Amino acid sequence: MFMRMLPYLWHSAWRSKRRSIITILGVAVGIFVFLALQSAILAVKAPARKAGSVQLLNVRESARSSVMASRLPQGYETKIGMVNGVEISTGVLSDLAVIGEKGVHVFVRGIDPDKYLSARAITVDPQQWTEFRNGKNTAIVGWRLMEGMGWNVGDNIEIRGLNLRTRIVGFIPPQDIDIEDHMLVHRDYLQRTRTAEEQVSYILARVSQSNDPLSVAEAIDAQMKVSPIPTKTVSAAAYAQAIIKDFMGFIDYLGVIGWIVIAVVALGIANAVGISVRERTREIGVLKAIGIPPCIVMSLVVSESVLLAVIGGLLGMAGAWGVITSAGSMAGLQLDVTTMAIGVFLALICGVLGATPAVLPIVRIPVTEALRTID
Amino acid sequence: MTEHIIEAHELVKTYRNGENTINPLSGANLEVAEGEFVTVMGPSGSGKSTLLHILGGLDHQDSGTCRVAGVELTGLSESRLSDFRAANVGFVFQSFNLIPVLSAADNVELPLRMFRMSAGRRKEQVMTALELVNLADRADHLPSQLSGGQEQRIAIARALVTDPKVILADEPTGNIDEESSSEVTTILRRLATEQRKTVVIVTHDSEVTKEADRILLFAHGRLSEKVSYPSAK
Repeated sequence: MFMRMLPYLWHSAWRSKRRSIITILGVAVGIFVFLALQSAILAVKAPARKAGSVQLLNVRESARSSVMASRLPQGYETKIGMVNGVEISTGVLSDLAVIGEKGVHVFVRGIDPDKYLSARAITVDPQQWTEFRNGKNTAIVGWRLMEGMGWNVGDNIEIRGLNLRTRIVGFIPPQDIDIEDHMLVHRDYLQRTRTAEEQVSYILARVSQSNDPLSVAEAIDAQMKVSPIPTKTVSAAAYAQAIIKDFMGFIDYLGVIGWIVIAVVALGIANAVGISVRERTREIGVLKAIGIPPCIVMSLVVSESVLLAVIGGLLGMAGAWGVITSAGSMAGLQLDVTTMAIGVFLALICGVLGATPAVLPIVRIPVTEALRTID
Repeated sequence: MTEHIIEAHELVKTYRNGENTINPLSGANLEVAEGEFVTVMGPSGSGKSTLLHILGGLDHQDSGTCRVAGVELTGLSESRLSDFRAANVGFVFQSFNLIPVLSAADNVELPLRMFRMSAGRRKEQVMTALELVNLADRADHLPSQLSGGQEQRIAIARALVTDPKVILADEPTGNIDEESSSEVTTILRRLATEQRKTVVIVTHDSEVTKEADRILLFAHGRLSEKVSYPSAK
């Protein structure tokens, strides 16, 4: 019977065009903001998600609570390489730079090209990598950063904050890893410009497939316990997690704001549907009087609310996708299909929840009372 | 023995309004035969509409029995009452109560949407009902594009489109001019005479009562007086 009532539902949803459009736009803005916040959260959490194989360990200074402040002697690279189970170890000097007028934050990693490539298994153009390996002040840049900054292979760039002048000789193509918005330069060059000779931020250690990474991590820390600077070894994913831990408060704040926006959307729908239902109490009485069961009348009102909410949700999703894919990719923002689907689903839930306060009186009101209501 | 399509016995209905108790029905009895055209008259607030609501399954009596079209309404659930109304009763209200966002044809079609039937058959029944009230040419008009009399005729078409046995009308001519009132009365009278519909009308309009087979007077919660109108039919 509900399906046969769809024409009534459609006409009814548009009886007050202005109110329906305002409701739809309200939902669209709400879902847009929610998705934009979610994309920011995804972007911040991306490094942990994309950190790579579980066989990759990250060795850092145990005394530093902040990962960014960790400093280890470069010589540890060899010591760690000798631990049973470690295939390759390579020290990385990591620094954060602020680039361009827009103040884009970029991780610059000083690496030993050959060892780093073996440890990380990055897909990159061999010719470009060879040019990078052979040129001391050259750089390989993640595609996302290249796109965002409008750089091209062959450009000479200067990062004043790090006293770095370098020439881009290649780029890291899309492959869903954490360094797609990073810049790789030669370690010894970065050490010179940062006056950090023979120092690295952390050591990357690849564990052979036959060994348990957790046991190897414990073995590394046990061996380095007696050295001047004890280490803390975690998986690369955990290391990335430790970096974003510094931002977790901010991430949580964004998440809470997102849910508040959703709650506001539901309240907005509740208000609009409530007004709409109050205005046609008499009509609802007529529907019941001609024999339409209360449950069908109720589901018509809920469906009307869901219809407007879903249209708004789809508009908000389309807007968020458009803005984030065009302007947001520079800032590393991203929006996956699952998150977009969640946005539309939440709009649907808002439609149901928003209609509920209006629907309950419909069930309770006697037909005769509804018919007596003055329009 | 005459078969009665409406049989109501000792109907009692009490409302509380603050500290006051109102007894619109205090033992009302009513029997109406198939095809009868009956008007109910009485002072305002005497319980005429309450009686109509109980006969139509829109309200429950506190005590007494009410049997309409072979269905005992006493104690029926809300869902059963909905089914009963959809199948057996057509309502005509004083203020028309058409759905403003639907065209005349869609308004008439609305009660049919509760039944499984093809769209073609629904359309056919809608056009038949609209032709019966002489408004087939207004099928696509919205209620706001119709006069009061036309709106009421559309409401009558909506009431009879499901081919109910009983049509209950509450002051159907109360909001329309004299000419339209005459048209509405004629249509309702024809439904009783030609289609054997049982029509019960609550009215103050003496022009309507002139067409009635019987006029019932409502007083003190009872249908205490029956008057045969000599010029009826």
